[in-house]
Amino acid sequence: MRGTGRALRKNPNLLAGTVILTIMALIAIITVTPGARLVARYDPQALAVVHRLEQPSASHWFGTDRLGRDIYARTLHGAKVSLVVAVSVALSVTVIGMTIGITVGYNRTADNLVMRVMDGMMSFPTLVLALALVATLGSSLFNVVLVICIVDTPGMTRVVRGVVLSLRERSYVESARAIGASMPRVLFRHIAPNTLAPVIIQASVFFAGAILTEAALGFLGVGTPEYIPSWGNIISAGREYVTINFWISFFPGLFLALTVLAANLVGDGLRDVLDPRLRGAT
Amino acid sequence: MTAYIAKRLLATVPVLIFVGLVAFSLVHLAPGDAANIMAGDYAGPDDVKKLRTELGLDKPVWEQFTEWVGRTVRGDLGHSIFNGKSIAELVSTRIAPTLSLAMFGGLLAVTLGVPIGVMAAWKVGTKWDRLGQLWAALGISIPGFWLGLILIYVFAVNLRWFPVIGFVSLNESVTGYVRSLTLPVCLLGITGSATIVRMTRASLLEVFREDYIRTARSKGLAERSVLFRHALRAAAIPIVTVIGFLAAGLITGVVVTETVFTIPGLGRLVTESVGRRDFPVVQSLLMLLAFIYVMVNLLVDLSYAFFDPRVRL
Repeated sequence: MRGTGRALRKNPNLLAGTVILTIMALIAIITVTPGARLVARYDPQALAVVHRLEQPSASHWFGTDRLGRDIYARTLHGAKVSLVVAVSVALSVTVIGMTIGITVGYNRTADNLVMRVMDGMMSFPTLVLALALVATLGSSLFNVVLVICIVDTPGMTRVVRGVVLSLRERSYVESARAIGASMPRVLFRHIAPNTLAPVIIQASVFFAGAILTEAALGFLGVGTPEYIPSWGNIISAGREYVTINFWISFFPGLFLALTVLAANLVGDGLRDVLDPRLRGAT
Repeated sequence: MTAYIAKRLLATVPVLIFVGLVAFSLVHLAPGDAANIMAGDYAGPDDVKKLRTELGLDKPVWEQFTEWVGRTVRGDLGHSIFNGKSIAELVSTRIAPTLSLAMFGGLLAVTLGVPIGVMAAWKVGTKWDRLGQLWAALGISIPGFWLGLILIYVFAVNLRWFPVIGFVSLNESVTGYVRSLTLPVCLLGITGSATIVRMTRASLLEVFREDYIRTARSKGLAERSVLFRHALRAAAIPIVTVIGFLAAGLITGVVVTETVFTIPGLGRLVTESVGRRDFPVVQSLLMLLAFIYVMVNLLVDLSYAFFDPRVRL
């Protein structure tokens, strides 16, 4: 813990990113508690057609959309979707990528087959593949997470496999095998822990990427369904009114940009802390 | 070199087969009856049945697959189920704006990204470096569609310098073409330059640590000629690979940009077809864009080998 404190003090970017992400996480948590109404002030779904397309004011801080729904309330509630997607994707891709990566790193036959499939998957432009998949499977929060996991898995698998391939030649692994350690023991005790640093760095990249992809899918009209407010679908709904009420899209976009920036800052900070060789390189 | 080219070309074959397989499977991944989904909410059972026979969805899967492969290899991409037009025709009418966008956007991304990256690396640790890194961090983090809406609000709605939406072709009016493309190209250039800044900076910094750079400095060469004559030459190779990343960024970028600015290009065709559940068009575009992506990466690999003879071994 003392190490964490020092890392945060030495790296103002990491500190700023952590603070912003913490605030967003708090907002997301508050919106599922009874305190939501106090902080968000309105029900994000409450219609008030009399007050439609209002500019930001004292009663509606971020203005209202075409159905008179309060954009401030919707934006706060949107934090939930972004963070749920980002956390689910980062965790699932880490588990799946590590499992596949460690397996193929130690099995030549599986390696050839699986990595060809992964190469094939990486030959698709990710957003287009995600769009096509969500369109096929149907728009739902679960499918959005599923699809982002599918497009991200090859990247994580590659990272893990690369590390495993270099580790298996190390003398400490050889020694472990020489004294008769079983294969699972070598894999889980000696290899897996050493893949963690690059895996965490990669996971942080996917964490930020997932927030952007979820929002992009929402903006393109196939992401999270409209009855769940998400930054992407609020911005999308505001797009038609950019000439009348620009603020519908502006505020959720600001939250989105800040969150992604914070996630990237934390990712870069983690890279500095976990991989000192790369310090200052990127 | 010829052997290397042949090897790399052959390696794309399984990838392209895989791309085809995924595109074909798309329809069969749909939960429930694909014909039902495509026909839409207002279709009667007869319409659905007709569509099913038309698309051959009533035949066994392997039979559908062989037929589909046969057609695709012959270059017949099929028809849109939304307006019945052939997909080849749809693509050819939609490709012009996309090509303009990708070309100028990519060019702007490189002309912004490389100098900013060089500046950041050359003045490493100074405020110029921090500015360059800030540019990169913002470019990577700010969602393109949001930045696009801000550009529209400031330059089209308030200042009225450019049209809010739409595209004017070069044949119609040259000034209209330039005006309708300026904002979208700026958006693509700004977002695309971020990765280039990072890559350029990182590869230059690596070169700066090399012995021959120290030699060049210690023999008294001016910093300027160390940078231009020695360092940039070596750093050029990794910068070329960035173009591969840029291609991926541009494909994603045109889909988003064309939607923000309502430009009738391939990217907008993707989102429109996805929205209409027009699976034949979605399948073809997925294949086409993946094909372009694979080819660009192949060219990048080949140019890499061309610049750096070590790669060929």
